[in-house]
Amino acid sequence: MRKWLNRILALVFILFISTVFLVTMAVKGPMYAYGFFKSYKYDLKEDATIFDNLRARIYKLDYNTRERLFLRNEMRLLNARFQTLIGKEIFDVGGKDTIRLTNGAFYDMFTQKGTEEKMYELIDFSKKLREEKNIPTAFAYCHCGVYEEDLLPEKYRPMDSNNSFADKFTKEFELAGISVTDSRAAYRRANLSPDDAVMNSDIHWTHRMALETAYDAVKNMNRDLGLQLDEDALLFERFHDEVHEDLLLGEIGTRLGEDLVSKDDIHVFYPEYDTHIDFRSEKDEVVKERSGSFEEVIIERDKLRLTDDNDYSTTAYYVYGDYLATIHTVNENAPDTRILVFKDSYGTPVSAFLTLAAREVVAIDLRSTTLSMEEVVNEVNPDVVVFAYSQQMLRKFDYEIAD
Amino acid sequence: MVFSSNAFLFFFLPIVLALYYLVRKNRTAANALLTVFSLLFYAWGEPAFVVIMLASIFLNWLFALGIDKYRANAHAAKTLLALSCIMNVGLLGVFKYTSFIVTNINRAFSVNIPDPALALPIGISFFTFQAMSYVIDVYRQKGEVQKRFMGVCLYISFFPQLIAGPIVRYQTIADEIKNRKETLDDFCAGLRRFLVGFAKKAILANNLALVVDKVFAYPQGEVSVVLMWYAAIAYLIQVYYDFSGYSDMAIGLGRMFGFHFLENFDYPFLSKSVAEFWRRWHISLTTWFRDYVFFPLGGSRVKTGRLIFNMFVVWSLTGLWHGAEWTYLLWGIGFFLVQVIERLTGIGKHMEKKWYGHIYAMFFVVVVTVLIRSESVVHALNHYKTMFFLNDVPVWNTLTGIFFSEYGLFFLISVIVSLPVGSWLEKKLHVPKAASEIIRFAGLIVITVIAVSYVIVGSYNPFIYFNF
Repeated sequence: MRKWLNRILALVFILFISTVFLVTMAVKGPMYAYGFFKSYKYDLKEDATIFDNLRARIYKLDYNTRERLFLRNEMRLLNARFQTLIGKEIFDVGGKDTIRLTNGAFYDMFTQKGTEEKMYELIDFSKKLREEKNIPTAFAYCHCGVYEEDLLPEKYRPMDSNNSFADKFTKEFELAGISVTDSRAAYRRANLSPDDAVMNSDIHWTHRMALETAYDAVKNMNRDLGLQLDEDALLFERFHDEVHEDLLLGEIGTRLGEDLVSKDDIHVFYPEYDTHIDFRSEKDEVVKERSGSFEEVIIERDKLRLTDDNDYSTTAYYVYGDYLATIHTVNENAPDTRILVFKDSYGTPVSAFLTLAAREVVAIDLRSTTLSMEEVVNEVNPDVVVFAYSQQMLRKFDYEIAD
Repeated sequence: MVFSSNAFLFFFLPIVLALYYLVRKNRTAANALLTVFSLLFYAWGEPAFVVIMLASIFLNWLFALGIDKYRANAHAAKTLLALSCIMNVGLLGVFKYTSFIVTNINRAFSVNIPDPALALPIGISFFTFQAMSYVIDVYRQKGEVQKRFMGVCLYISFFPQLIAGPIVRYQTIADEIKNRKETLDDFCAGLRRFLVGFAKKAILANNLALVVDKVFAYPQGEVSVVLMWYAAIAYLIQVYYDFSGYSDMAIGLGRMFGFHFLENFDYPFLSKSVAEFWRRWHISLTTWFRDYVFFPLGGSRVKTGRLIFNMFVVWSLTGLWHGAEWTYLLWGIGFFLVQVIERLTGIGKHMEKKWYGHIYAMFFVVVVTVLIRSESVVHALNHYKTMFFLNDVPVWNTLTGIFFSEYGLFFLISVIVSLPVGSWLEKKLHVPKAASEIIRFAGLIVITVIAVSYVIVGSYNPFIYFNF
């Protein structure tokens, strides 16, 4: 009997893996080919060796096998169901420790203790800029997840180092003479609720929170660094609030499934007053240029579209621009200051709002370039450098600060 | 590439199986195909290391050819054998131990020799030991020399056992490289074995790793006594499922291609002495050291002093084979000491007859294994202080409760599955054979689906063989 059962098992399994392979190739094959033959080189340095080349291609293939596999979403849901069934409250899906906060939102805990190496590298780099080039720096810290202490169920608090790590590095940055804006302070100043601040279905914060943080950052830079940026341009009262209800099923939502996670409303904010901005973005050698109002050039409405055949969007958070794109804006109506923003996906809407407060803004995600921070500063020659980062960027090492 | 990844499961495996069974009747083509795919499998982790592995294989192929050619001249053959051993140990030494040696020289003599910080080729300890096995077995005439480079290349680089073992002895599969028979039943049984190993790794080892990696990373003072013991035991079980899971997958995959590897684990947690534990744990490594190091040193039929020396050499090397750190060396020496005591006092034999031998053996193995999970000896000492109430930490705290409630089920299942409880229950309850087979089949389907879901969603999936 075992012989026949083994045969059935083998047949089912081989059919399963072959089907996944064939359907993935049929549907997503061109993306695999694009990654392997074309986009792999965007991550390569000019002096790349043949092994660097191979490594980059393998990385692209590996990335696609993780992200673009047939039945991936179904398997994610199945896995989340399994974890619910066995009574787990910490969901390990996608290598994250995700729990439900007391307001019902899901949150990826910071269970691994953070290293402090990157933080001190950034501090040293800031000192160097100030001393050698007379360029001041500011830090717009984009906090995620837990804005109120009691959001995190009490028993999980010893596991999570999000707030304690944030406290530590904001303090260290302040001591190093950097103009620090903590989005947690902006949250309290604007008298927001947790639902106003963080997404329910996504790892990201809300655009409202980004706007309030950008406002505080401008105010703090004027105060601390003696700049003349336009604070009033970022007053919340001066913005349209265009609401798209139940639109976003973000990264956590797609990871755990719609049954567990409800969709988010997306608020798109753009100024009620007249604006004119020259815009240039570059990503993967594709350049886009346009001129017009903030709403016309900054807001990428195609990111609000529904994803595939679903009744939700997975990209709506990126309505203020692709975080991996390098964006250069010129706003002739704003005070004559050139800001260089090093940003991640949290900092992308912050840098978008900063275009209203300064003449020129160059925003770049170091993960999309082989240049180091120092090289970018030399190229842009800014009046001020802003780090608009979430905590993850201070725990990671996949970008270079200085050569 | 690792077995528990989307790339392997949904791309590499279906492609290599389909192509292999298309060409399998032409043995040369089939072996060439397996060799090419094995190199691709290895290159997935780091393409540059393929060159190092190929160079090692090439030189070992030449040494074996030379030994075979000059067999009549005992001196020449022995010289070639010695040279091959020096070359292999040297290769391992350069890549694996240079940093360790340089760091310790700098520390001991207050000098500043620059550390070359060479990257460690994945699985170098495994493929180097297989290469040595090839040359030594050819020398001992326990396997036929491979005239073709590809034969040796396939033996050493064959992807199922390449990066995490088991260490397949040349004599075990020498014949099958040329003459093997793939059958449907072998294929299906191999696949079943692969799925068992896959589930062990994806469900049990990886979930236990979540406990272990977090707890061992917490600062001293946050971990309670109970949590430290929990993590220490979880680590031993994690390593067991990771390692035995990989071995199951390797044995299963080998069988799918017509190769038959020897078993690598035999319910090690049933052991009642430390010596017995090592007869059941990573068998391919212990037998390798026994046959290629311990016996040539004189084995156990020598005077007591010499026996202790032989055991010291073997267990120090076993420790260092696992990793170039003092923690690994002390781990090996720990096992040496207790086995010497077991052997000289007879306590080992005594324990093997008593039920409390289980407790004795497992207690010792858990405690010693903390060493290799610790970042340094100092860290290990801190963990020991916590475990033995010497740190000012509570016996239990909130964190401990979370880890029990979140991962306790995986821990419990892991303990049960590591023992032959299923067979025992079937016997006790007189479950008919057919019913037992159906239950096992249904169970395997369910755990395969769960395991696949864990891999597809990209759950925590550490690769713990980087040091090896």
